[in-house]
Amino acid sequence: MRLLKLALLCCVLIVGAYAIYHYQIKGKNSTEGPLASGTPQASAMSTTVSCQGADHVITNGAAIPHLPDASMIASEDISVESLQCSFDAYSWDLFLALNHDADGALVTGGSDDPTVWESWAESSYIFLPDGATPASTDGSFPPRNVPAECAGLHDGAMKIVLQIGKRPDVLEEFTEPFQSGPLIDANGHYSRFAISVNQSMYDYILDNELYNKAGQKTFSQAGNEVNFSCSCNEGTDADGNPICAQGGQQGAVMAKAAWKVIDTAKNDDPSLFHTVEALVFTEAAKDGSRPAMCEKQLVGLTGFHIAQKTSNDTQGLWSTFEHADNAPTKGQGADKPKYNYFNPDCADCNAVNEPPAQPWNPDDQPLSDARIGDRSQIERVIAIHQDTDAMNAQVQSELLAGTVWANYELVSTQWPTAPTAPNAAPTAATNWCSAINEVDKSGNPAPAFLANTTLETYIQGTVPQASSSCINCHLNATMTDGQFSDFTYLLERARGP
Amino acid sequence: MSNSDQKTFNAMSALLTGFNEQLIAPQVDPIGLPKLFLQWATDHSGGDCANLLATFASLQAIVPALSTDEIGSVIMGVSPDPTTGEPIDENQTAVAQAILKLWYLGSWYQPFDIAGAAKGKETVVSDQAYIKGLASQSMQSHAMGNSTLTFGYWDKPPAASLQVTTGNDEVSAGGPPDTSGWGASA
Repeated sequence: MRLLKLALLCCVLIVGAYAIYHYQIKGKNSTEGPLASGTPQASAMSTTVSCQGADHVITNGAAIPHLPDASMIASEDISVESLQCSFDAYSWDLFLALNHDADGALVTGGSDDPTVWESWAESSYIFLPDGATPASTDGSFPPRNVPAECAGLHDGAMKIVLQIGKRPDVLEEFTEPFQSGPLIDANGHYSRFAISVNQSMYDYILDNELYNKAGQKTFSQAGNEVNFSCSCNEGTDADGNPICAQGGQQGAVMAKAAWKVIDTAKNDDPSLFHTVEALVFTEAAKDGSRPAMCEKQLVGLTGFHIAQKTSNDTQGLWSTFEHADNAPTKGQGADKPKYNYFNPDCADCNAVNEPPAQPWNPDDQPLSDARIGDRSQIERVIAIHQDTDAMNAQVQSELLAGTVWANYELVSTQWPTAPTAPNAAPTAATNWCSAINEVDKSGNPAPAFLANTTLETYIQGTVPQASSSCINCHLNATMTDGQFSDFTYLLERARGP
Repeated sequence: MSNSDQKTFNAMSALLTGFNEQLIAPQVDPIGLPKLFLQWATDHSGGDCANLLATFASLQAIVPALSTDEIGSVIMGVSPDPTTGEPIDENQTAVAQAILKLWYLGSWYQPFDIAGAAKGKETVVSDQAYIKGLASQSMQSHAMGNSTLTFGYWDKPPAASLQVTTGNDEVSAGGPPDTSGWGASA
């Protein structure tokens, strides 16, 4: 009984201070800042952003940061606002690392090369028809199931989708804004979406046979719960116990992208976007009224989510970026002559932030000029915070000038303020993840609401359980057997028996 | 409200609710209920919320220190104020009870008549006050219509003890979870 009371007392002491403890530990272990693990960056450029009274170094580097660094914030200054600066700086570090040339070159002017995350496996690589096993990997990913309609459009063999370099790819999802309707750009084209996972997440799905329904059922029946690995930096806790794998660990990372067709006839300027020549696939209508189709088109990146599990943030850190010309902010006026998803001079446009009226026929595009009211007319509902705005401006001007990436901005980073349980130290057995806060598995995220105008287009706002919150929404994600899928909806895509 | 008032309010709220102060008023707080609740209680109690805070502060300052139970007994009108030998004003006790209910239920139950609000009038203070009500957290459930628990949670025993959910090792009900399945724990 005495031992029990002592244990409970320890729990209470840790609970009582765990928000502060959590972030002090982060700083303590991040002895070399956010790029503590990974490739040395002799040629890296960096800029120091002053935010809420603390200096944050943002680096244009190739190493994916494993953890945010809050060590520059004095303990008495720790607050939601000051920590938000650390998470936003981390998001920019992550964005720069994931968008550098996959061949190793840093983001610099004069080129727009394929990126690191574009070499990752997309969902259609993993969840194959009939639940077939994806090929095991040797650092690259297996061939995907390319629709027959697209096959003839490849320049050469199918393996081209494996190459790191300019390549056609397949974009087939067009209802991403939460199944609530398509996102149709100002030129009348349907936007497309794709989700990719890094090697760590891919390996976990493969190793545990979570790529088909039967494998998921077997996994759950054996008493397992999905727990993708967490990113961490090598170090020890106060008792000398390791808190990460030797040399650090890259945990699970997901990237979700929104693309628009670059229509130069409608004055789209490709030099303002990260572009890819893609095979854009449209499934056949279920009622048989139209066949499947595939077109080769130049598409530009307009929205970009990154979610990374870290050892202290079991719910994941959710960074979201957008093209700066996507949409004006509600109540602030439309001060640009042209937006990707907003027509500033239009009396007959669709209602703001309402899905276009049905029917939705992505094989009938671009929409004719007469159908001006059938396009999405989008405004940002929650303005980008002024601290984030200032950070964006500095990174764009000092690290990204002359590159297409200077046209992208961080909207915000959502992070759990109370992520873990007492006595939640990460171990190898937990994939170096701290135990989640069982009382509130969401970890009480900040900001409470976060939306990307291209990915959560029609659910922006501040209404609990209705408006977009990355963590609160993904908390409901399950596998095909109804078991928790660790904050990803990807596993719902498993097919097969 | 001054920082001093807020600190006093947070400490008094911890005493009234039985929750650890760091849990109900964390330093890293994206919601801000303590500030909202203090403002609300002040605006709906005439000067009695300020008087209650002053009473609580004076009880905290007594040397040797009173226990939380002793302070609570005075605030709730069970015991006399040791500094005066008299019970505190009943309006102060009514405000304390209203604050307690506010934390647990997210609603303000008007403790006595004031201009514009009759005694007993119930007001849900905000969506987050409703969602974050301590009644739900205490029993590891959720406010109707809003859940941060994962799908299928109802099929599993509660994950944490009441000591963990409240951050208070002195709570006597609940005890550690019975990990063997449903049923009372030792």
